[in-house]
Amino acid sequence: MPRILNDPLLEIRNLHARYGQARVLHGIDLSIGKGEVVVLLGANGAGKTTTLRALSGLVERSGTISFRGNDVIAKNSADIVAQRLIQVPEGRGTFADLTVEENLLLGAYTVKSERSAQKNNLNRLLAMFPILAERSQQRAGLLSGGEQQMLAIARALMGEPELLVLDEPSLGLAPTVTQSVFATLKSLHEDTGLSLLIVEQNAELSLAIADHAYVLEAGVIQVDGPAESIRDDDGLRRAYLGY
Amino acid sequence: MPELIKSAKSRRNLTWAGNAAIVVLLILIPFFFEPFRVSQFAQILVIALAVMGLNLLTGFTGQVSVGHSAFFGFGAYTVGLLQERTALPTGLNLLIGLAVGGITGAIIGLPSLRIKGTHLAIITLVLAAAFPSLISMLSEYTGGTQGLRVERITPDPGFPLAADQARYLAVLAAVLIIAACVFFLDRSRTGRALRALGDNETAAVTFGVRSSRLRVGVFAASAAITALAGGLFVVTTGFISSGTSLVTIVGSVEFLTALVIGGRAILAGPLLGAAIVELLPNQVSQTSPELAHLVYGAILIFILLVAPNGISGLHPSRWFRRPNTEKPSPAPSA
Amino acid sequence: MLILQLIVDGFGKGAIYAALALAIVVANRSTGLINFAQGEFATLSAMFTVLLTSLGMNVWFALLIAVGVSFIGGAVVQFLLVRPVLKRAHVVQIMMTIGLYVVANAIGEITFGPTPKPLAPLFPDGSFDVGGVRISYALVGVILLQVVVITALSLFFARTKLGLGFRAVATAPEASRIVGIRVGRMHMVGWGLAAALGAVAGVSLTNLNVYVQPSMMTTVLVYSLAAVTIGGYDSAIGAIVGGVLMGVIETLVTSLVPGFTAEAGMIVSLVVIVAVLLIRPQGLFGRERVSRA
Repeated sequence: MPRILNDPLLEIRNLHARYGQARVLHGIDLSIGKGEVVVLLGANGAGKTTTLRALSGLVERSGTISFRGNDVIAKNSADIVAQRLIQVPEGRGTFADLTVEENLLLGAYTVKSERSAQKNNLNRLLAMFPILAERSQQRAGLLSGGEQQMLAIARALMGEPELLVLDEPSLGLAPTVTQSVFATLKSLHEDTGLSLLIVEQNAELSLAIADHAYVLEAGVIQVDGPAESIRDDDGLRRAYLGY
Repeated sequence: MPELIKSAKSRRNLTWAGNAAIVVLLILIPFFFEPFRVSQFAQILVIALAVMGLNLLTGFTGQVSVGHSAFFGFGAYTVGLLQERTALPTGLNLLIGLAVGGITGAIIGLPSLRIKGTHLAIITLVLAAAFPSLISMLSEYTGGTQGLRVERITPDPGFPLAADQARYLAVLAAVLIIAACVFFLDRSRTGRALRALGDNETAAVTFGVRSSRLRVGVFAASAAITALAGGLFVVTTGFISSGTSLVTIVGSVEFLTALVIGGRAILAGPLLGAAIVELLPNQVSQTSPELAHLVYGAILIFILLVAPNGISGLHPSRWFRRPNTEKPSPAPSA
Repeated sequence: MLILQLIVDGFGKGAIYAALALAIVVANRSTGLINFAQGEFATLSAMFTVLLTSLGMNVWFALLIAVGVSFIGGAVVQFLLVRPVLKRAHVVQIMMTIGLYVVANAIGEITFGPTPKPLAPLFPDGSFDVGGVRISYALVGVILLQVVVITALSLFFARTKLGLGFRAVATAPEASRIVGIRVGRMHMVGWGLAAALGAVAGVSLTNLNVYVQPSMMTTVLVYSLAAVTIGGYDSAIGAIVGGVLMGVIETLVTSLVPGFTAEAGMIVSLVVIVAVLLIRPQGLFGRERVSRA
């Protein structure tokens, strides 16, 4: 039974998605409440990234997606970002040829505010991520993997998201770097109450900061429950998460 | 499995039948029309031959040349000058024209095809623009804008056919021979290699397909065919100058338009395209030639939007499988 | 000194080649397509300017309006005719720009007619001497105008939000969608800007003793294509440098080399392109992925 929230921030019902003829998602139900950290786990090819692409309107989809009470299933990606559902894509998606500062400014592309307000936002984020402040005039492509991940997150934050969605933030990063990324996410959540949807293969780290978790396998949700109980359920962990 | 084979085979048979019918019709034409029309059809065949050269290039490599008018011109002037200034037989001169086309094709193709991208289109456009200038610069030998008069090929007095019929059949012979060559190339190992190259270059290279050499070879062959068409043009119409539209950018555009409209089929495509491109403007330019250009360009754009495989591409059996140069379809968004 | 004079004259033409080359690069960076019709669009813009001045309008004002109209025209053409083929094979896309070339040329022929007409000059008559080299006010004006327009465009790209968005789309369209940029609209903006730039180039050309007529920009297009080959298809700086180089090369070769008349500029362009492709195919500033076959 999919859980029913009173006033969900994001509610996905019966989501199907396909690339051309290949059907990848077969009716997914997923909900996120305000201020929650939700994690979507699963092996390679389970359909996790497809779910996120469906969320941002980048793939053929059907079903219901409701964000902040609005139906967004038919909207295009630009509108969805304007609704403050912002993604940090797999592989970071930074603009390698543009500077760190330009990347950040682009994060605020859909935010309608005065230049001074944007400048303040920029400075705020540079203060939050000092490594980016150091390199603000460098080409983003020259940053290390971990730094690019921070840049991608900071850029997403520039868009003032209600829901921050991250696709495999640990991908290609060394363990220590991954840990600091997750520490940053945790403190973001704790300090600002930002809602997070994290898609991950690394179950251990993500379950540690999550409130609720879903496990996706072959395009179907197999497990849906509080993160704590999944953490504690050895059998389930071994069966679905491999540890 | 057996069903698949049967349908492929029956499609193949249908295409054989279709092409055979076309060939028969083509052979019959000079005997059923008056000389003026027969000459017109001969002109269409010449253009069809030129387009066959272009079709070879695009069909096998997925590249566009906007400069085949220059190769047409190289062939026309080579053959024209040889006919007028030497006593060599026409057949030999045509072969020399073919060879000159191939060599110039190789020269242009070598730098352009090493690297992927739009380079070929650009360099061939500039080639097409440069050719008339080249002729003008060498006007001492070529006649420049005044042009070069060439005696048309004429059958000996005892010959059973009239002059226009003989010329038509000579061009037709060339068309059919080239079509057969292309057909066999398509079936051969080289043809398979080329299609593999078009489909998935990285994989093909690992199988030992020498992509650069092959591409230049195809380009040279395509240039040679179009040069042959130029040679036939000059010996059947008798005149060439730097203002003849077929050796300017206008000519390149005409060939390309014929290619797009007619489609990929080896014989039917260029024939159809050439016929439309030659006949339609004549109808329209009763009123004004500029309007003909407009109609021309509009048809080209229309076909590109609606049926980029051209008319013969709509036929269920295609000689060439389209090279897989398409970008993956983007997911629906904006 | 003759050479100096030629070089100075070459700069004048070179400025115009640079402007059209930049237009080609801008359109290319937005949609990944070299627009072979860019020259014909510029010709149409010049013809439109002639129309406006024939109605009594001041030529500078007419230029301004023509630039605006060209921007809109370029954007609309991209939307109606280029966008639908962006999903298709590259061959089809190239053919589409050729189709646009034919149609634009024909429209010019039909609406303007074959007779060349002069356009009222933007700059005053006359010239001055510097160390034996004659420099006309028109030459200075043309160069300055291109410089101003190109600088304005660069500032737009470097400093404004829209310009930044354009650069984002030019380098990474997928990532641009992630931050909410409407990529399709950016494509239209790119083509609009290219057409506007072309309008300036076309009208500027008339100030170098060229009459407005159909195919007036065809040779300029060829030089500009050589320019972008020299500079690299996706480099704005390359287009400018390449354009000026082509202007100087063309003027020097056609004036100094015996047997090379003015028309031979086309051959010069061909030789330049072949040379660049043999020596450094990505151009001076290009960063295209050079995949060796």
